[in-house]
Amino acid sequence: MADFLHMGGYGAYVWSSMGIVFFLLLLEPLLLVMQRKSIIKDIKRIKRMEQRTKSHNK
Amino acid sequence: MFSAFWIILKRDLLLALRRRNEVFTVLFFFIVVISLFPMGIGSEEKILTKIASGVVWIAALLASTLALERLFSNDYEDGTLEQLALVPQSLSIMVFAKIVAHWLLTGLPLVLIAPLVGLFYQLPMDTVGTMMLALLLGTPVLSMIGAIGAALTLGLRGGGVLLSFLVLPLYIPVLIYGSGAISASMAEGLSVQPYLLLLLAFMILSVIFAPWATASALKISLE
Amino acid sequence: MKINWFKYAAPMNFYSLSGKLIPLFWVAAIALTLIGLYLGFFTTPNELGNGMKEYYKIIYVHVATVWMAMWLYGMMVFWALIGLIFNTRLSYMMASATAITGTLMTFAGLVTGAIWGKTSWGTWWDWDPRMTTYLILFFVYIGYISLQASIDDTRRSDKASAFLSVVGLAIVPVIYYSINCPDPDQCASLHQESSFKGVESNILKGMLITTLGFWMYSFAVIMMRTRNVILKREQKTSWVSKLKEVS
Repeated sequence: MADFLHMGGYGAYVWSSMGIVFFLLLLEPLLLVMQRKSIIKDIKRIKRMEQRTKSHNK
Repeated sequence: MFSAFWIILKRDLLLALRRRNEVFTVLFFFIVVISLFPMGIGSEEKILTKIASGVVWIAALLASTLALERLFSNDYEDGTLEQLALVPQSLSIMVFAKIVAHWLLTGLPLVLIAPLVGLFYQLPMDTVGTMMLALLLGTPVLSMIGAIGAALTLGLRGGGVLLSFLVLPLYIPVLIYGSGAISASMAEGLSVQPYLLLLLAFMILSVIFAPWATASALKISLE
Repeated sequence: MKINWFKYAAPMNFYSLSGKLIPLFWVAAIALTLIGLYLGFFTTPNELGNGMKEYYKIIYVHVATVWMAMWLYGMMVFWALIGLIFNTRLSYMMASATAITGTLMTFAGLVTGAIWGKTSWGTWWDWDPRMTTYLILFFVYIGYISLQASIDDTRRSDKASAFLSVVGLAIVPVIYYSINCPDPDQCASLHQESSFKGVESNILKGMLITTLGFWMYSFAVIMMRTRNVILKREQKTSWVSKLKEVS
């Protein structure tokens, strides 16, 4: 296992490469999920406000 | 069709003559930039002759992106551009005329000031000649390709920097072969002809495609 | 079973279809990437015949990200052209969704490439034709995103950035040619020649399968982003207000 991490002395290079790539690949969907939640929240809010004005105007 | 070309060309030149300072600022920007390099890098003849070919082109590229903002902005602001787009004559021809006028005012002066570069950078006479020829072939390409960027960024805030950022990568081939021509003229036994022919090819291609592309980009921006 | 593809050009239908497909793409992405990397790390030798030591295993992610950077640009231009020719809203949305993923892949390719360069040629960066053109690709992606961000009007920004991406596609090969052959009679390069001849099959499998995994990932993420764009742009429509997630 230690050999695997060590990678013949090049461990730092190999693992930082993999690290950066997977960090980015995980970051993007995470941000997208957060963005989706925020958009849905906004839509719900606007919907509620519209329903309130509709019931006021009746 | 050609009368539209001449009318627009004459009009743009006339308008520019009334705002002469816009032409001169571009020229002096170029001169300042080429003066900065020896101050920043070093002024021994060996260094100067080595960097001259790249410096003159980089200064030309930067001056070109600066000048491009003016290409459509005046007409856009007073509504003339929209009128031109509605007119039955081909927008591509009129755009071509505008670009030609623009080049005469901002590109051609750079060609004519090249001997000054030769003076500052201690270049031999025939290199200065090659430089002028290369600039003569290359600066129209810069104006043509740059016009596309100017059309896309029409009226945007932060337009000038965005325009430069979008357009400078497009200039790279001209930069490489333009400076290659000048370097080749200074080196022993190298011919400048292939470089100049490539620049000529770029110029012909850009004259054929760029006005049409610019007109399309204008229509997108004017909607 | 005849599928009417044009049905899915409507944002509403695309939204529901992609909602069902996204989890499948995620599963495929994770599975393929894990298989590819397993093959690449555990079934391959520690040192290659040409002297390359274990650091060569960076290649699995480096090659995958670089290929994705280029293919996603092509996909982006494809959607841009569909949008410009057929004037379909959805294609513009997909083009801009592709841009961000493409930019991230390009960035990852640049970083892994620099690390690769440091280990195998001794230098973090070199202005050789492939690397330099790849850097320009990064600039073009950023330019696309900047242009889109600077235009407030949605129609204009969609069309302008679509147009820009096509211009970029036309110019990048010319840039590559001019950097590769600055003297028209002479062309040269430092970047490794395409390393597929004589490459051990497990390494090749590792590269290809990981790349395929990244493709699946890209589809998943681009669909997720497109759905977000659809929600945002279509929020005033009745079909959106009837959605389960919004009630």
